[in-house]
Amino acid sequence: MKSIVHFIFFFIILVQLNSCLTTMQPLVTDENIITDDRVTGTWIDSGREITVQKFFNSKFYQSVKSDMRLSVADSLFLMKYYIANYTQSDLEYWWAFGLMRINKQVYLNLFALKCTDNENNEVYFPYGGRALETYSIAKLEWKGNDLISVHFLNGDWIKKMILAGNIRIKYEYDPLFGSFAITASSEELEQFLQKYGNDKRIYSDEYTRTITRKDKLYVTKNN
Amino acid sequence: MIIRKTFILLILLFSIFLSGCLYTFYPIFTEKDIVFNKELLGFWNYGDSSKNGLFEFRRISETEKKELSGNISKLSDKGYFVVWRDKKKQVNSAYFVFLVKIGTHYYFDFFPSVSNNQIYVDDLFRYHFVTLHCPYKIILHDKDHFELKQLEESFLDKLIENKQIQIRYLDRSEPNGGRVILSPTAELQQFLTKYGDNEKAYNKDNSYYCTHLHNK
Repeated sequence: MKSIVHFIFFFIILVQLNSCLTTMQPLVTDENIITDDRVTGTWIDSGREITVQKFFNSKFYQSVKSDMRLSVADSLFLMKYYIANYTQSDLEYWWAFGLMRINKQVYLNLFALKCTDNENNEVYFPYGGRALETYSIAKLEWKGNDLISVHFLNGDWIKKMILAGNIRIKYEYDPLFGSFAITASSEELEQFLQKYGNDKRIYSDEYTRTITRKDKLYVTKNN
Repeated sequence: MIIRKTFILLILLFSIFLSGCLYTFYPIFTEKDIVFNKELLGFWNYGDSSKNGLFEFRRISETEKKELSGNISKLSDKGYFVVWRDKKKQVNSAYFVFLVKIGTHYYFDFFPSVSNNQIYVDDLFRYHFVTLHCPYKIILHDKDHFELKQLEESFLDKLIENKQIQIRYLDRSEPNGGRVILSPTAELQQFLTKYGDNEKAYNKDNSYYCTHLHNK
């Protein structure tokens, strides 16, 4: 019975993110960044383990610190940053994110760092200029201290609304290659979320991931 | 973003070809500008001892077509799939390439493809990158020789600083640095038409003289 319950649980959280909204400018800046260390620890998402560490405690920082030259301002900013990593299909993913708050609502601003194979070779080469790094945005919904729903912005719906002229925000769209990106400034992104942040239409179950703290999951399983 | 800057520095070590290129969000061409020259198909040797390697030009396969979205997917029969192999003959990267005529000159528009070992990368990860275009001028000498000339980014920088050109761009973080040009295709074509004959508009160090290999 317990295994059936857990199968259902994992089935429910097995969400494919088809197209989250990405922006060229960050939402989180040194002026609005906040911390909430409850996000650190090991989380379970669709059966995989996600490790979240504060930036300076992370394996990522350990791997690059000899190359980093940080100013005081940089250090103060990065102290508030988090690194997330997980392994999926023999590939290890590394992400960085910051948090900020608008109207008592906490948002996560995520960007991709690297993806490596089991020999630590870089698998995806987006850098070197061939691709522009972008950020995604998600609303965090805490359900106690051990369960978080991460609501990514629904890129398909927002793009449709923008192209129809129903939502006004700076963007670039190339119909020939289908490229699309939001170019609004950090301040404009904040204004966008102040206006639409509580509008359920900009989110979708399809773009939501519910993650559970690993320890809590095992307690549930044993009970 | 300092964390990103540091990581990019590490990755740049792996990136040679297309480094220092002028990058654009929009393609330099419209549908009517595309030409297809079947003589480009095949293997091409390029460079000198320090930067030699191979380009393979072939037609875009049905599988590769699925990677293209937007209207270009309907025009993919007019494009090339170009695989770049380094001097050890290892596949380094792959591109969708379109040969276009703008004014009196021919250009290539390079658009990166996801190579075989990148197919399994999580979609969420890939969505965090917007693929950019990189234009090259191509001078067709004869059926066995052509020259690729990379646009010189600093030439455009000077025009912008001297307010000799109005162009939309996004400054990128160091050390990738440089700019991503956000101007639409029509403005890009105006730039190419105006400066296409100006040798200073091209990077002398990143030009490739390519020779057709018939025995591959």
